[in-house]
Amino acid sequence: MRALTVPAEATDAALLVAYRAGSERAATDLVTRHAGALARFLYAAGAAPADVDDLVQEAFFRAFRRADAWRAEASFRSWLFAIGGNLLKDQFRRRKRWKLVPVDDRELADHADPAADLAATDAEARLRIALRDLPRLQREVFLLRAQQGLPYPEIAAALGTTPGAARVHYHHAVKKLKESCHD
Amino acid sequence: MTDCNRLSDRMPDVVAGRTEWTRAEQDHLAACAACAHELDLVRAAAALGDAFVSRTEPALIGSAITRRLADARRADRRDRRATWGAVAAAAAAVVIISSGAGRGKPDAEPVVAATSPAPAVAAESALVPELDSLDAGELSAVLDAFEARHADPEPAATPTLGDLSDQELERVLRAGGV
Repeated sequence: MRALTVPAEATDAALLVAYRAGSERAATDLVTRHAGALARFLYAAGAAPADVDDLVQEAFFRAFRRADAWRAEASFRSWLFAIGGNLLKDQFRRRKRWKLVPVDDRELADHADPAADLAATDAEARLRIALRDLPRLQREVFLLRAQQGLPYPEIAAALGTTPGAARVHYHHAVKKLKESCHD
Repeated sequence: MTDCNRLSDRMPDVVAGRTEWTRAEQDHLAACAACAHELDLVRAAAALGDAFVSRTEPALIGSAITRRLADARRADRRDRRATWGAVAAAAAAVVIISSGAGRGKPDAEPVVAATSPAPAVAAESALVPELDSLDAGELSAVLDAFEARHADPEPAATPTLGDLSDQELERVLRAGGV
């Protein structure tokens, strides 16, 4: 099969079509475009830092293998995040309990102010623990909205709910997080 | 702290820089501790994982994925070939058995067209050229499975008079003139 030529500014949908037509370059472009955001989403959703790259790889692999199932009701990115969320859920289920994620050197930003770093890391750790304690749907809706900036209709399409329900989940999540993270 | 969500829906967009606060919203934010706290929360969520991601290598992940996809496609092709080979072999076995059964009957229809002068075995093989692509092991496995199925057929249910209802039994007896 002859691979399509993909323009540099191709949409995700065009890249997926090109991938289906045999273009490995299109797959690589999609990975380059979304891997970082997916890694941040999975990390924030509670994945252990050591597992994030494996989860990202597996999520992309499944997305490409099931590319025919993508109906463009949700964006490729939010569909990918939904696959990543399911993988994370399966991983947690296998391990039976959540891992308390240690904050190690790998996660520290390279700043000149160690005290500020420590405070920032502490706040981040508190937020991750609070997120960990949310019900899954609330956690994913909150992250897709607050971290990824997706609109409710797109979140709803990706997670199989309605925009109104997604908004309610978001507000519940915010309320609980405000209580958990309040000093 | 009172619970206020007046600015909740717009916060992620403002934090992401897609829009800005209006003057009235800015005034509210300055006076509402709940909204200020929520804004801190949304900012923290938006930045969550930034330091971690800087150490992720999308190019390495991308090449690993494309390698896996290529391996998976090769495995799919192997599976498809094996499936079609098995189907073709099963079809061949049916043709062979049908033609073998037909030869014993004087009025049986010839399985192979009369225009073919080739011997029967060659003609049967020509009917299913897919057999040629199977190695000895695959062919043997297919034929073993086929023979096992014929050697051990499911026992046919043999009805007895005891299986009939009273009405059915009565009809049978009347038909037999009993």
